[in-house]
Amino acid sequence: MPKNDVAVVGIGQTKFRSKRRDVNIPEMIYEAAKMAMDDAHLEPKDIDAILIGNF
Amino acid sequence: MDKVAIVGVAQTKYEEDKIDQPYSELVFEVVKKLHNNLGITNDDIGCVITSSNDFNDGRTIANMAIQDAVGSVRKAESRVSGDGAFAYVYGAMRILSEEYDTVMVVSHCKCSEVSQYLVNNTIFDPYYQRHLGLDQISSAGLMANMYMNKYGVSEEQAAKVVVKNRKNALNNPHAHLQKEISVEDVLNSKMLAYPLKELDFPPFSDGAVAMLLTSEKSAKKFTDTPVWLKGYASCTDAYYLGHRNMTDLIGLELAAKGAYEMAGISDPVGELDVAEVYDAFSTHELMSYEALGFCGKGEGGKFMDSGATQMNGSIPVNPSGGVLSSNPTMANGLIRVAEIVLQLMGKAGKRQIPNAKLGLANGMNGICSQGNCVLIFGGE
Repeated sequence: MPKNDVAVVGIGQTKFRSKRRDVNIPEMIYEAAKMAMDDAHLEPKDIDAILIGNF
Repeated sequence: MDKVAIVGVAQTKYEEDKIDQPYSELVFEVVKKLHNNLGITNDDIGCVITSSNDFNDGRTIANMAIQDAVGSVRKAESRVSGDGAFAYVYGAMRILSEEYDTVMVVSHCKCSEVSQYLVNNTIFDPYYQRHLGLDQISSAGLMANMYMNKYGVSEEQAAKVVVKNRKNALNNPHAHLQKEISVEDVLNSKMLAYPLKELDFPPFSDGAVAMLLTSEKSAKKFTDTPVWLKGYASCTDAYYLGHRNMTDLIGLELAAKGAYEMAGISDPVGELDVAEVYDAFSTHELMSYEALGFCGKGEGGKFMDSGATQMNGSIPVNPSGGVLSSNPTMANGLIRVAEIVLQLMGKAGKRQIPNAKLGLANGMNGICSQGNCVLIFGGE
C-alpha cells in the first residue's frame, strides 16, 4: 500500500484526431493543461511541479 | 523526510572511444560490477531506473536496447530521457513510495557514436534557433562572454578551474583525461567560441555509472556505510536563451535554495565538506559557485583565486576531476552523485577528502543550465 494518499483533482484532454492543423504542439498541450487547471479551479502559480510525458 | 540510502556505486573507466563495446555491453559492465561489489544478483533488485538520450543511442525508447543489460525484463523499469541525476531522483521517489525496497539507477552515454554538436544542435527549436547553428559550444561562449563582461571575471580565473579539475582527475582512476595542464596551456589553446578556448571545454567520453538505492530498513544488509539523501530540489529555467538571465544561473540558485532548506543548511561553505558540480565549461563552474551560495554574485573568479575550492580548501569542488575531465554527457549528473557517495563512504582513494560527512551534487539538463537539480547527501 502506498504510504500517502495521492489525489487527482483535475483532468483535461483534447479531442483526439488524426490531424490538428489548427494548433502547434505547445498550443495543443496548453489546451489540455488549461482544461485540467480550470477543472481544478487552479492557476499556474498554484502548481509546484510539472511532469511531462511525450514521445 | 524518510530516509533513502545509496549502498553501492560502480563506474566504468571513462574513455574517448570504447569501440569494442556497444552501449549495452558498457551498461552490462557497470551493472555486473555493482552486483559483484555488493554480492547481489538481479533478484535483489526491485526496480530499475535508467537515463540516456535517444539521439545519442540512435533509436527511440532507447532504454529497450539495454533491457537485458540492466536485467529489467519482467520488472518495473522506467527511464529518464535526460541527465542521470534526475534518474537518481526518480529512483529515490520509488523508495519513498514504499513500493520498492531496492532500486538500481543506471546512466550511460557513448559520445563517440554520434557528433555531439549535431545532438546538441537538436536541443534548439527547429524553426528559428537550430538553423543559426547554436550548440553547446556557441551558447557557452555567449554565456561566458556576458558573465565575464558583467562581473569582470578574467580568462585566467576561468583557466584555473580547468587546471584544478584536470589535476584532481590524476587521482581518479575512472577519469578520462589524466594529464596535468597549466593556465598557459588553457589560454593558448585554440579559440572555439570567444572567450572560451578548446581547453575551457570538456572532452567527449564513453562510459556508464550505476548505483543501488535502498530503504532505511534494508540499507545495512548491503553496507556498513550507507549514504543518505538529506535534501533535494530542482528548477527549470526558460528554454529560449533570450528569455534567460545569461549572467547568473538562476535555475541552479533556486534549486540550491530548496535543497539547502530541506537539508537545514544555512552556511553552505561552512557546513558542506565537498561538492561535485556540473562544470560544463570553465566559467560555468565559477557561475555555479555563485548560484550554490559558496560566494557572492560576480565573485566566482575571486573565489577561485582564494583556493577555497582546491582539494585542501574550505569547500573542495570536483575532486573527481569533474565534467572537464570526463564527459559521457547524459551520465554526468549521476557521476557527480557517485563521487559524493565514494567521498562520504570514505572510499575515494587518493582523492579522499578527510572526514567528509556532508556533500553536494548537482545535475543539469539542456543548454547553459536550463534544468537543474541539487542533491545533498550525508554519510554515517
